[in-house]
Amino acid sequence: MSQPTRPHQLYSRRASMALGAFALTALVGAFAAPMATAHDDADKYLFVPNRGSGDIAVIDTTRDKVIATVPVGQVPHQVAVSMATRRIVASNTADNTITIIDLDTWKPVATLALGVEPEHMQINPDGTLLAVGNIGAGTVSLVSLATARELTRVEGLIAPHNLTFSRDGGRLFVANLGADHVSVVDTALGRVVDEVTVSEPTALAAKGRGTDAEYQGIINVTPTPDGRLGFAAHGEGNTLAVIDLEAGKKIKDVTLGELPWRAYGTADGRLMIVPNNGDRTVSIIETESQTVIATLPGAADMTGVNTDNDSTTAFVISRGEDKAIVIDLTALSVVGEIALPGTPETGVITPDGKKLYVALSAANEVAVIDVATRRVVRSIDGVGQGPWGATMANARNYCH
Amino acid sequence: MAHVVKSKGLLLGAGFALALGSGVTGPAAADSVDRLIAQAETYMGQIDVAELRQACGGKVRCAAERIAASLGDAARLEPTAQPTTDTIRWVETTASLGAVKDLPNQHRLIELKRFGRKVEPDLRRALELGGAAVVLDLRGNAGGDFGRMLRVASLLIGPRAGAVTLTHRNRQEHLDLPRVPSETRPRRISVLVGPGTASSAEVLAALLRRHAGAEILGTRTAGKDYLLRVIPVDQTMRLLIPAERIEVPGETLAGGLRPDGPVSPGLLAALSP
Repeated sequence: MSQPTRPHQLYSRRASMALGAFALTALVGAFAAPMATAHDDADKYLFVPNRGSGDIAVIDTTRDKVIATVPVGQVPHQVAVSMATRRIVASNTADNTITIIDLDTWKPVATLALGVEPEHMQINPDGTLLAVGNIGAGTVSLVSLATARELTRVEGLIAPHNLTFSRDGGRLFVANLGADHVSVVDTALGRVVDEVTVSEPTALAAKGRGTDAEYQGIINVTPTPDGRLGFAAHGEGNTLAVIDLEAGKKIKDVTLGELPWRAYGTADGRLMIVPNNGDRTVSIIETESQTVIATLPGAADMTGVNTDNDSTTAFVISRGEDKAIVIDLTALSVVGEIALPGTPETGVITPDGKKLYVALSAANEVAVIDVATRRVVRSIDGVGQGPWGATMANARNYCH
Repeated sequence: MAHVVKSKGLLLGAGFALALGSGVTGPAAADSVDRLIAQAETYMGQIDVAELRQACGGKVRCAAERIAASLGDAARLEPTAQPTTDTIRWVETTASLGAVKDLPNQHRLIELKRFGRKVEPDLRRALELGGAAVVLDLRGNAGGDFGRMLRVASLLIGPRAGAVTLTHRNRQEHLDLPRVPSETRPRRISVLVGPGTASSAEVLAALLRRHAGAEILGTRTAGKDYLLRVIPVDQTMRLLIPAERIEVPGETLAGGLRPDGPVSPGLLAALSP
């Protein structure tokens, strides 16, 4: 493994700005004039990591056909897309690497050895810096997508799960699945500079170890579109912490149902939707008042929520009951279900808001749902073994 | 023994020492040691931060070791069980229920082994499957998540105000059984207990006797009547601090819950596989 370089040597805010300017130039160039690349319209492609076959399926969403399969490492968990650097990245959980792929040729350009079990990734707002949570090591790798090098490895996390950049990219909020706090990383310094406690410690009354292997702390910090507030559900605490992301302070606790998963925001920023897997309900939280305005029936093992571009409909994915629950966000009621046989994992709605793609891990297929009619219109086969997620450029992506 | 606690004080009862202090927590955590201290002080009183810092600097593991040592045997610093990728995403879950089967006379046996994350829907389903009377087998249940146990109790009893009292180092807190949807509450409950029934499981048995008229059968339980607060230290270790004494008004948990009688030979025979 190559040793990470000291952060202050390679990545400063000034360097970030320079890279950002470069990326912006590249981005403007990409849209201002036709480029001699194969995949200029990259946001029409759907990328699906296949845990079983160790590859990424590329699906053309205008035809709903698999048009390429890119081999990566073992047990890829997530795909991240940077239009600025024209890279897609796969996190290969089982072999502790990431694969960086050229968006124009779909050829791997680099494989980087990171920490133990790299799972979740987030790209900073200017598209140049990739953060990777090494959940098995308690570290986060910061990777330059321009140079395909690991800049530094941040220590001091506890089972880092999802990652959230501040709007200026200067800070990274790390959801610690194994703890009660969110860690704040200064991306220029490359280290944890603050910890925001979101829940009191779990009450355990046990002679033995209790249930710690299934301990669920914080899955994600979900920001409002303006980046001002972050919503962090704590699984064991049954609460949703509202965090002032600028100040790095918790400002409120909202009581949820049993074992909340994470918050998913609507496009307009008005609502947060939180599935509670312990009591199988769904909490709807109004972000302005920071209160629960509805608690609706859910289902088993809900690990994904997609909302449409109008912020009027939510699709809550239940991998335990092979379906998506459809919620009318105006009426605040469950209005239907969509059967998704084959263990639905996560999904993504196309940037134009018309279709929802859901990976079906047990069926080796991707379901295509028409958002307007709320019906499955087709299934895409030949995807690969164990499709685990769905990612598109310029879409509201998430990972479970 | 490390001198971490600034002022030692009143014991909540036999078995472990908790320190009295100001209870004032410091400013927002700036590093992991600050966070650990702030969380620990909530339950054990003021910590001599200067001494801890002098001994450990910014090393959180060192700080956790010294805090644990100052609390005696009831505190634990132990390795954290690492979740697997499938555990996190609910692909795999350790079962909370063991044997579920029908016994003679419309009795339904439900073996509740632990308070896992699916215990509520699993128990609800087992109750809905039938049986006017339930035999709840807690003999192998060593306890677990306290909040989840309260929800299980409510599933069988219904909501109750002030059903449990927690005695902190300087105050008392009365906990309610929460309102939990339940279509099928058994008319009669028998609870099987023994020395393997501990902590949350003992509290559940006591709640069922007190509020649902359950009959407790078997032998005396383990007698672990205090809550541990789980404070993650780092990626691989967690600190468990004895924090609150548990009481069920009208029942005696200290020294173990005393059963109403032995398990009858007939029931024992019916229980055997």
